[in-house]
Amino acid sequence: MKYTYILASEPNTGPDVGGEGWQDYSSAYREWNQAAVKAGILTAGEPVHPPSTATTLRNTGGEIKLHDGPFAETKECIIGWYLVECKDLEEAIEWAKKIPLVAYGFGAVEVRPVVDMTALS
Amino acid sequence: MTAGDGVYSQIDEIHRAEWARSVARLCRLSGDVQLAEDCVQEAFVIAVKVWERSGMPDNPGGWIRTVARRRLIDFARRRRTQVSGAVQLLIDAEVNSSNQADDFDSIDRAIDDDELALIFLCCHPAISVTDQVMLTLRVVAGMAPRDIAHAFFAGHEAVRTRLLRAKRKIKSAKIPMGLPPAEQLAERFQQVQAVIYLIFNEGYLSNRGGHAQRMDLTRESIRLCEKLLTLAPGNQESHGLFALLLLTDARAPARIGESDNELVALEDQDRELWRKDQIVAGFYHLQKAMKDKGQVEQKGKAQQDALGRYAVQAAIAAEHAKAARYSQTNWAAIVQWYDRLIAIENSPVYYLNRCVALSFTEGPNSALQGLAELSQGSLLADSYQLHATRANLLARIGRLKEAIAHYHLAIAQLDDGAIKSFLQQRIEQLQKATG
Repeated sequence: MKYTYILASEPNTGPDVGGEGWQDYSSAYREWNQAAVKAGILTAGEPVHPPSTATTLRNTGGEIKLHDGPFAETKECIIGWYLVECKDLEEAIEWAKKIPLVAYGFGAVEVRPVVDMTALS
Repeated sequence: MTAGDGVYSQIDEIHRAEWARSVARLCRLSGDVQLAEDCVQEAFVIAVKVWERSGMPDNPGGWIRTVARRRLIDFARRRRTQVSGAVQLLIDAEVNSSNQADDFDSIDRAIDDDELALIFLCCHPAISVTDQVMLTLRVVAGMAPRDIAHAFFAGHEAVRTRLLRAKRKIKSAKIPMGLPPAEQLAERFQQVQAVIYLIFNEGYLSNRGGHAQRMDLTRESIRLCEKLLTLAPGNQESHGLFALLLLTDARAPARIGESDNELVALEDQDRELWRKDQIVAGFYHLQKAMKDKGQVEQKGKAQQDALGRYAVQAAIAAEHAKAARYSQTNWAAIVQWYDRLIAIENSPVYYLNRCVALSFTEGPNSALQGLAELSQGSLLADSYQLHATRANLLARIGRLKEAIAHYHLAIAQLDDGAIKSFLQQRIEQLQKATG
């Protein structure tokens, strides 16, 4: 069963790159990534640039319009994602709990089951 | 009496006994709560028709599950791609169960496990608490969505939609049906107990719809708790919860007045009306909840949480049950139990109730001083509970005008219902006394 983790946090909650606590935090991520790869659950994942770099496309009345910014202006913004393969939601939640973003209390992880396209065809 | 009469008089009982077991079994096979429910529902419809003609089978539960399983197989064959894994399982199951030399005990145990797993599934923390409550009532207790809507004063359609969404989430997100791993077991039991307690309170503290208590909900919660105990007798706090529900609900006949919407205060209840059998059972389960815990606690404060919150609340209810008359209540013991309860969870509600008990050991004045702490910034600050308690204490020391004023503050926080009319009566009594 495939799940995506959508990682979100409020701006300036975690340590700054290279700043205090950064080394600890980034090595925690390295460890999580390695553990997840080793367990064979991690398929892919990337951090993304802040919402100020986002461009949103929306079709309004047949015309695709560009919007400079994310889907919705919320306090929390998406900072990255993972694609994992787990036995069930419980296993997916156990792994998600250990993602440093949540483990360190800097943000939230949304766990979403991925639609199985083979079952739809 | 025809066979038909027999069926109709017994079908409710069979439904009650076999619904959750059957849904659990089918859900284990299909991983789909809705599909499991539909198959069991259809099996019951068929059962009524067939049993009416040919009489009741020896093992109605087994009959229902066999028919439901066939519906599931039919469904699976029609949509092979989606449930192909389940098909194989079902065919295996079919082969096994056609072997009538079956060890029925081991089948029963397997169904017990399924039923317990179904309860854990409905109370899974990935589902919102409101949905956990509704799912448990629908899927485990077998309550019709219409009746759930009625009990919660919600629209039928809204409840149906909620249930469907929750069941879809279980399926799409693949929330597993099984016993939680050992390290999560305590926490998951707490969640199940919390859901049962919520259902009970929703019924017991009902302040709506012209009923001071919704017996349908209190009854279901007691049944659910009993089921949980039967399936998992090892969890001591389930005994504590069961004791609490039994001892509290035992007062229902005295607590509800002449009309359904009239509450009688504990001090005015006719204790002869309390249900003695429930009290006896309550004491039995309280003892089970406390077994081997007394000694541990004497060792020191650190162990105080060894007794769970439900067991301690049950102990308080037991103190009331022990008193033949209100005047014989052992308030000192109750104050101590509240101390224990507050040590487990520092809730303002417990603190408020401790103040009430304290008013009988140290007098209303010290209780009033205690309440002052709650007036600022606590969750209860402007609640009807705080105002009404203060009013009651003021009345007891003869400050009647202030008491009336506080009862009015309490009423201002309430919608129409049993509690409001109860407090209005208090005001009328006090007004008569002041002339």
